[in-house]
Amino acid sequence: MQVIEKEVADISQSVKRLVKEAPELEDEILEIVEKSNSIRQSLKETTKDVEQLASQTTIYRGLATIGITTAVFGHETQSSIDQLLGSLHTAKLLLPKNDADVVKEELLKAVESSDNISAWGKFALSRINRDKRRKRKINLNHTIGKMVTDMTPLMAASGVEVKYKSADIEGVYFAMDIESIVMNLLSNAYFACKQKSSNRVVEITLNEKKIKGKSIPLFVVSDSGPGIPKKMIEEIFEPLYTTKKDTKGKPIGTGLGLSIVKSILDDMNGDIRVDKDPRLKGARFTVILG
Amino acid sequence: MLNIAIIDDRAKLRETIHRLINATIPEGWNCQSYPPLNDLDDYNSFINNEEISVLILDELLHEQAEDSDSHVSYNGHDVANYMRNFNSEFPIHIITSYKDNEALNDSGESFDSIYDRNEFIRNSEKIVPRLVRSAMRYIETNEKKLAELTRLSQKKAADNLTQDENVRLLALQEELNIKASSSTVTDIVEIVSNIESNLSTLDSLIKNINEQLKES
Repeated sequence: MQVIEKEVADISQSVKRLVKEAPELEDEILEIVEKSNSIRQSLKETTKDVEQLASQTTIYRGLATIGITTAVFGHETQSSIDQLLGSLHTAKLLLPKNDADVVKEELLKAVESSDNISAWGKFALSRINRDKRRKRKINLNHTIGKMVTDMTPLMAASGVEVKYKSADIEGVYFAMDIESIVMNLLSNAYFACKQKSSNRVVEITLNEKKIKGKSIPLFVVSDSGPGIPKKMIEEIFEPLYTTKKDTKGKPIGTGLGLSIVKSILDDMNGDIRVDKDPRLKGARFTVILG
Repeated sequence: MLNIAIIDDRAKLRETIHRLINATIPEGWNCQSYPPLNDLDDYNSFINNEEISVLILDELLHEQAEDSDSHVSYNGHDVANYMRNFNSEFPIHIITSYKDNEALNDSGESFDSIYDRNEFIRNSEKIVPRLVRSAMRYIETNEKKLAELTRLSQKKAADNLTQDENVRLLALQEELNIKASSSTVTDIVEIVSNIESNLSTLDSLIKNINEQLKES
């Protein structure tokens, strides 16, 4: 849009110069200049609208992702609330029995649990920070690394080990979009790992790959879950398609996570591929950021 | 000592609930907490070996493990369903943060009650005596049934059982989950006849000794 606007401005300047060479056409030339200015104004307004729409889409996708993540990790938060309440009531009952050591232990557990609840609240709130809704230059390692750090304790509560390796890479993105990609892929990896009774591992790597002479950021999330059957690979990016099922085989996912990731990557001319991780034996999602 | 067992995969919460129950439990009762057992098959012998009188199960048992290799693949209601194959009256209660769970509610006949965890924590002083009462009722009923089973088994062994009594004996064996019920009775009959046979051998031995004593 900015390129078109510049082209129109250049045309307008060139046409203005023609007045000196053909003064008899001044009225017609001034009319063209006026129309060019009007086109430039329309372009400015359209650009503003498109940016606003992109920002809105980013916010919708970001908010939907927070909802999905809240559902996936809701049990961890509820456990912290249960622990807080349980420890406080136990401490209250044991206090008159002069069992100071046990009371102290329970109060420490209560403090730890309230920290976990508070961390989850901060996590959710910081995702919708206004700065993240603007497209700007960001350090992907900082943005992704912070997400991984925030989500690691939630995953560790169910025995899922998180490993993160990255390089410092910068790019112009909506931070909220990058966070939505990370949150959705990590939530899926966490859920997949919990289908296994042992060796629950999620590995995340961020590096660059040369594609047609250009360095493109590459983000990979692998898990040790059961993997995705080949016949489902085409469908998993479709809206409302879910592989998440309860112990009775009833679907429990929203089917929105991967379609959000795909939509973000389509907007940034990126791509996502899925295959089996050769080491962890679960799913491996490779994200090529545009 | 009568025992309440809590099964929960979250070690810290398990310890807290264990302390909470022990703080409100009546005298003569003891509460113990355990991580989920490796297999459902382990629960029946666990209850017998640990002399458990009431079982409190967390519903979500596969969230956390004691170590990296011990996540289980079943939930609390699966334990209750399994236990009902052996004993239809053993007191089983479920604690959960998500009462509105279809799989759990579908298994509603397999346990005595579902408690919302928050409700359980807030009202433990009222709920724990209720759990104890459910266990006492079970123990009393079981003791009466065991006494009746013993009486009828003895009559069967003496070959002195009416047809109605035989029907009742079989029903009791079923209720008390005496799987080898027919062989149990057969065993008793065999033991009694062995004793009778031994007594008659002893009688003839005594007679022989007496005769020999007289002769000498």
